[in-house]
Amino acid sequence: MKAKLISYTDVAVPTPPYRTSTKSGIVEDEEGKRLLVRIEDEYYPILKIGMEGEVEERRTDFGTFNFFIPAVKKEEKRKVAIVTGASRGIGKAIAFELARSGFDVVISDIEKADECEENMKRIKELGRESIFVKADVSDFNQVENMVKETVEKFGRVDVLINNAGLNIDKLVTTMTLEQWQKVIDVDLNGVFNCTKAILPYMIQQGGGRIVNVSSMSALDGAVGQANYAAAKGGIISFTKVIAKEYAQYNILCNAIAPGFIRTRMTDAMPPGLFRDRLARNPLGRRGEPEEVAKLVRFLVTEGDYITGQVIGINAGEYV
Amino acid sequence: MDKFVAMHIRRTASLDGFLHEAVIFLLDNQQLLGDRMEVGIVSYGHTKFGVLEEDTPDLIKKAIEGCLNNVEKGISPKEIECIIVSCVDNAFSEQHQTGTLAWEYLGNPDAYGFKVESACVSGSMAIYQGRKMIEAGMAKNVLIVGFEKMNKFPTDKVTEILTHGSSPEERRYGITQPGAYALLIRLYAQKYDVTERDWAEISVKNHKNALRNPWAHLQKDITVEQVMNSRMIADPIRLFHCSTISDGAASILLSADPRKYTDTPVFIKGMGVAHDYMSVIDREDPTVLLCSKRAADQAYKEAGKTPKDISLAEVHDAFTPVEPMCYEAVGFAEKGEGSKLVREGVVMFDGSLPVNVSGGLKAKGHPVGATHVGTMVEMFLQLRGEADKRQVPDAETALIEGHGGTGSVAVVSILGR
Repeated sequence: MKAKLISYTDVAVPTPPYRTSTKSGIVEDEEGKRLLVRIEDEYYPILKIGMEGEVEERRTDFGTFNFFIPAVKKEEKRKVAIVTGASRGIGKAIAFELARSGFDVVISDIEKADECEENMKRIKELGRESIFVKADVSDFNQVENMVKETVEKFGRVDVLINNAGLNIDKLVTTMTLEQWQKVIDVDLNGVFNCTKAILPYMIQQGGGRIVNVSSMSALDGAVGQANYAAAKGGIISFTKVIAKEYAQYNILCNAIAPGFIRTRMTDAMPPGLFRDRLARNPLGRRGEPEEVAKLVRFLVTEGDYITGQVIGINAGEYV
Repeated sequence: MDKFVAMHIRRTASLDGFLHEAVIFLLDNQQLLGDRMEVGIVSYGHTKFGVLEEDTPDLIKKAIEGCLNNVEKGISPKEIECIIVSCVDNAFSEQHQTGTLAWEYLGNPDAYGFKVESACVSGSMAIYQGRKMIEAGMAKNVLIVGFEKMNKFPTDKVTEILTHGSSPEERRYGITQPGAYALLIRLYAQKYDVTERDWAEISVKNHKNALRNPWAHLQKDITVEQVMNSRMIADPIRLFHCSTISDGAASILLSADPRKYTDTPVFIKGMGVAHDYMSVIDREDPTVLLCSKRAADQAYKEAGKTPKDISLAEVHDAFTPVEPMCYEAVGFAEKGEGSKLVREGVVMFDGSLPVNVSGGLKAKGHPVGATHVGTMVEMFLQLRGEADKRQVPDAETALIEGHGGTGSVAVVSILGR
């Protein structure tokens, strides 16, 4: 049935049985009869009063509803991702992978590394825009500024990849309080800061995707990484809370737990430990940052029904 | 001819021809009938609106005690034959039989109590019924108690309970009360000259007014920018357009013989009640609050007044973008021109027709069952010159517009001295 849209709304505070925002409207059919309609999320940004379209009946978990399908092509929506710690390693691979998937990418790091310009150039060659924003994730003010700059530049922010982190490996007996605190500040508090700063924007724009880079160390208790494992374990718990608190705003939050990946961290391992680690790895090799990046890309582009999960990427080293 | 005879004539005024005309003439020229029975408000009780420690029984008790204590010439509970309580949803209070509870606190074993519910306008509907009872000779004194205890629950639960008052089909579609108002005001904004700034100015106005009201829930100044940047609740309705979730109670005492209890009663000169369809899509013109318009027409006619006679008003700003539509419904502005009254300052505290000087539902608060008993208390004080810092000079005739749902039921009252 053909119909014309005469009003619409997005109810951001739903009531049961609905748990997420519901978009609905009023249309008039060709005889001037008014109908209530549901509107799919993807059409909401392009709605205009007077817009014509089709009304079709669809069954959902909550009953049968009229849906309004606007008779216009969906506009290509700009998609924007912030990747922290993206100058190199896993963060850099994620930035490229997201750019390949159509995201404009904000590369954030504590310092602008030499390869940063090259990374941004490569993203531009992929047809996407990129900016660098310097931010120490352990400083909330800097993080707030990072999100603000992103929104000022691109008008929105859809994805946050909490990747920034560091490790200072010591046995607990030799680990100083400062070494403990430094890792907690960056690896755990940094995730809190970035997530807290970005949530209001994601709520406002109707959703978002957050991926927190945890670690296999959080799951199997890596010797010498009490601070790092505690921070990465904290990230896992934090991820589950965010998932439950913000699913109603269509904000999905997951953690990944990479195992033995080719990074500067694993390059720096003593040869003996390196060989032992390879021997424990069922695939017998390190994972590539690009392989981790593919998982992140899947979560943010395809994982519409995945939230609060911790997904290992470790070749079966920890099962 | 005494007042009861006059009432009898009114009841039997279905005669044709001359006799009918004569009866109508007499009823419209009450001075020829001697003293017309005008139902007067003689006392009030009012708790603060807000997040209160008091639970439902305490609220009801305070409202009753306040009202009895405020009767200037004194009253015995035995003189009050009936107590009508107004409460929108017992799910808030987790307490049924609130009429009986009120009866216990009244202290007159021969009286009786019951509850009236009519969505957000329950308080006015209780008053309407109490007044009718007195006019019909069923009681001489009726105590009206409105209350709601909303803050027992988190916001999402409160919103869910309030949605029970929505049209079943809107509710099925997940359209909450702010959602249905959002559909309505977007239709209005598409058709008429109104801006987001106008809506924000109304929120700012009502917050400023609430600063003068010690009973108000929100006593803080806000800016247009704060309103326009507040988070979206149901696009285009934002958080700072929304009335508050409040606890509170208010009461008034209606009397057939008001001067027995006070030398300065306030009279309900006219009152109207009307309905419209619950769902926005079923209304003939959703950009008109037809129920409020029809109720206002009845009230003006009964009171023998016009919009030009009104000194001040309280209207139903459950969501401030709807306030201009209320102005239009009660005849303060032409259709589509309500927002001009905001831009021109007419409805400001120092304007020629101040609206929501109490702070309105937006800032004084909206403990739904108490709200429109509270507006009646406000006008009682204004017309007696007892409204302290928020007193409107020369307040002669006051109007109260309240509607429930998103405009499915309305009560309009006109008061004078």
